[in-house]
Amino acid sequence: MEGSLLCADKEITELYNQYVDMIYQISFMYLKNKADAEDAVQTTFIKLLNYKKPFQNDEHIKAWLIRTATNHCKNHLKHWWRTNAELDTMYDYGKEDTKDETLEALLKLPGKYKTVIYLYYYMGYSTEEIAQILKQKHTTVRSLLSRGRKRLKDSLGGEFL
Amino acid sequence: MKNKKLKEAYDKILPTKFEKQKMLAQIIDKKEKRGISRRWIPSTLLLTMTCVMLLVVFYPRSESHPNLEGPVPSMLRMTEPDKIEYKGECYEYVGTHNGKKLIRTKEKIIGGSVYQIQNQKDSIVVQLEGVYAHYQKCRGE
Repeated sequence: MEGSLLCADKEITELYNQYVDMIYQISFMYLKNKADAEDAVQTTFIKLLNYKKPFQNDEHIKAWLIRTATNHCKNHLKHWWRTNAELDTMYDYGKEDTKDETLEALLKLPGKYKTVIYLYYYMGYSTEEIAQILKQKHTTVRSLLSRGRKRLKDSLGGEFL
Repeated sequence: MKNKKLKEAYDKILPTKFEKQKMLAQIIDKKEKRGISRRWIPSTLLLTMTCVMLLVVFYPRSESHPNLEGPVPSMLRMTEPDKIEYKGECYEYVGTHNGKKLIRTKEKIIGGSVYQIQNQKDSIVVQLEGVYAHYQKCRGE
């Protein structure tokens, strides 16, 4: 993509279809309810529309979207009314019968582990790639992954991961 | 996929087709409205107009006084060739300032200053264009 002045609806739609699932999942992992996740998706894509600098390739766009969505969610959670409300029990990811303990455990993880675990286990990135995407040190990503995995093991059972 | 159970868990939080369409429609709608938000236009216009009005009303004005070589505030004006009116009171010309100690008043005139002479409440010295002129309150007033 040359520059990021996305004007054509077709261009936006293509990018949207390509990345909406990923952005939605990341947002949901942080915000734990559909309405906020949908808002986060919209905000992230609006920011993409307003972004003026050129992207080098698709991976660059993807990394930018991941970082933007993550930062938006973190900022949203810092909001005063959000910090004063007890929303941890407000998981709303659809019908009752879709709930499972693995997802509950993932949602209960602290924010800093969520993105790393998602990118590693679901998107299939290596720790080096995750470090590049999140603009963090490789060792930081590895320790976040290790500690996040340990927390999941503790809550789901030793042989899980 | 490095873990099947995790994949299944993450798959449960995928948006439905309807939700995706709804979000896309809202994004495109917002894209068309981007730029200066319309709600800003009236408030910006109002603010600009208010600033212009305040500027017009409070812009410092001065009026010219031909006998004092240039614009001076209305508190000081020449009424006769050797008399001036300062703050509504008549002062007559005594002569040039002769080295007495002057106290600058808070009143400024354009291109000069108004002074009082120490221990002489009835006198003022008007300095204009480098010339100091001594005035005394008109007798009989």
